[in-house]
Amino acid sequence: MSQNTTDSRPDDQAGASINVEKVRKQYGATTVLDDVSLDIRAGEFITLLGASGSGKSTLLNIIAGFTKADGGRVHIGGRDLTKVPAHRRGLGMVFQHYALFPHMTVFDNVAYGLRRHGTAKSAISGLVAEALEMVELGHLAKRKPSELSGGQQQRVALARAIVFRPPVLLMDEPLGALDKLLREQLQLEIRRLHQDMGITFVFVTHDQEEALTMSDRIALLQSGNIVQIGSPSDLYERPNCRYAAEFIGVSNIFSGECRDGVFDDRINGAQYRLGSAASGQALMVRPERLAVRPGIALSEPEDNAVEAVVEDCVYLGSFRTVHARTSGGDLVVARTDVPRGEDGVHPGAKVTLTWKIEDGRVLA
Amino acid sequence: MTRILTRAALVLLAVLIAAYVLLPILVIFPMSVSENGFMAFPPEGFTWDWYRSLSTDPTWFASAGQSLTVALASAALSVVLGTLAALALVRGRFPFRRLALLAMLSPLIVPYVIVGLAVYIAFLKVGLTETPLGFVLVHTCLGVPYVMINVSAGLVSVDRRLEMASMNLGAGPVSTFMRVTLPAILPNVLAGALFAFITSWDEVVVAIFLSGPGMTTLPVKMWSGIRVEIDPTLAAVSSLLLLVLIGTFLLTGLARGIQRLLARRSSVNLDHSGV
Ligand SMILES: Nc1ncnc2c1ncn2[C@@H]1O[C@H](COP(=O)(O)OP(=O)(O)OP(=O)(O)O)[C@@H](O)[C@H]1O
Ligand SMILES: [Mg+2]
Repeated sequence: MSQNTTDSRPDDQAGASINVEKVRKQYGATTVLDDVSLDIRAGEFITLLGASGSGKSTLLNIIAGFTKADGGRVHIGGRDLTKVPAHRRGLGMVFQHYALFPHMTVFDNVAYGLRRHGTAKSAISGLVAEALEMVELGHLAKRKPSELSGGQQQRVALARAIVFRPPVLLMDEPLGALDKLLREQLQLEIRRLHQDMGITFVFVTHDQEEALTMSDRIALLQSGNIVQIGSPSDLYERPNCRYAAEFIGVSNIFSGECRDGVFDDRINGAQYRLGSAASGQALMVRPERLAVRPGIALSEPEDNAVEAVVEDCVYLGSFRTVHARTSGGDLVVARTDVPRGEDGVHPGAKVTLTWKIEDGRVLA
Repeated sequence: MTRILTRAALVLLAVLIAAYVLLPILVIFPMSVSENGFMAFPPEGFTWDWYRSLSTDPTWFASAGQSLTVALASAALSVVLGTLAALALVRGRFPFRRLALLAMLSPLIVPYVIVGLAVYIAFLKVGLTETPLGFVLVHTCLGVPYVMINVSAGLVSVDRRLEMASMNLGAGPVSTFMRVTLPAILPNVLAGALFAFITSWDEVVVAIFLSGPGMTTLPVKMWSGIRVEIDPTLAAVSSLLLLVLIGTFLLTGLARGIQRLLARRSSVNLDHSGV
């Protein structure tokens, strides 16, 4: 039953690159992946981010070899693995609901991959102990999965996936079933593992905050297409389309048209200056880039401004959000420092929202 | 108060139904120890004579042995074929799936008389009547649907991600089935095996067609026995048969009980160790 390990490992360095080339998948008439191409660098932490049904799991399963693509190729570590079945790809994988073998102890679960890869018996218990130590579960080796908490089970699943030192670790919403506190703790642990091991991590989530905190790069999927790929700050600061801007973080979007270096917001009867020549029908400003001034204040020459009426102020400890409605009916959210006293920004107050010219981004 | 009354009524009802189902069977034992030379109720006196006469008649043992062999062999074969069939039907994507399912369930629907007649005519040609192989072949047909139904029910509830995890960890399809899928559906496989065994063990209709001087299974021998001699030896045989069945069920029940006990024991230990 054991496979030749050296043969199934794509290459000798710790992490392997992954090249997805025009991968296409259809279920009946619906196109789930529409000629997706994606180059993942060796050793990087990449996140596939997207709404439910956007095709994240399908793409991951094609990389893992569980799903057959209708077209395109997958290279891992430079080798064409398109036709290689899952059990010969030698990749690690963590599933959303742990997928631990219920009839085996924690030890046997972790040892499973080593045994299938033909690791020498004498080496197994040492490697298992080491992997369990990495996820701080060394003392629970004799338990059955049903006797562990959700967080502990997910740690066992992690240990099981990394114990045979795969060049790539695939994770499909591994933290989806955990509560917030535990999720944040495990996010840090997974990042630490990534730094320690230096292998390629492909992480799937629909939680944009999780994607921003964890990834080197994020690939944003929308109904079977990668709409943008880049670092977390690329996606947050420089979204390349309205979908990306709305999916990641909170965004204020004004509709209008670009003309002669000016964005004409006809709905609110305002004109905003643009830093550079651009074309598009939407202008986006992030909440933290907005300043809220009480009354109808004249904006400084380098600022753009729009008038609005405050609907709600939410105090959140270290900052506050101001929700205001413009004359054209747009709801704008600003995130500001908490003032020491009353600053004239309260529900019903007329305010002016201003932002620096370079903080506005025109979107197609 | 009314709750206690409803409870009592329910218990009474359960006891009555159990009695209704069990009494005709339990009547057999008193008759088997009756001194009356004809099978009659109520029994008179007490004697082990009929068991003694049974133990001196080798033909009963020959039949019992043949029945047991056939039942064990066809149960084993049913398990293998029924499990494979269930795998194909639950997991496979192929044309005429529903038709294949219907075909495999047909032994449950087609009257045994028809099966018996058809098989008799076919087997006569190839010389399979009155042979253990012939019996095993037919009884396997009758056992497969039970295994298939049980195993299918187990398979649909198996978490596919467990199998994906196993493959991802380097196990091929066969290895994955043996190490991950089979342990998950084992209770269903065993239940199917039990059904298949019992189906063969007490099958009379088809067996009558296939039996003859060359080979006679126990139920057929009993059936023909009661037409020529009606002394309580038959009651003794029936009692022994019941004992075998009760024993089988007790054993499976015991195995489950022990399993559950062990599981509870291990979790109790963990609670005490307080980790
Ligand atoms: N086996 C299948 N048969 C038919 N359609 C499928 C199948 N698997 C997935 N799909 C469809 O493909 C699309 C993408 O599914 P996929 O599981 O990749 O989404 P996802 O991005 O992982 O979503 P989620 O966040 O909900 O997990 C969905 O519309 C889904 O209905
Ligand atoms: Mg998914």
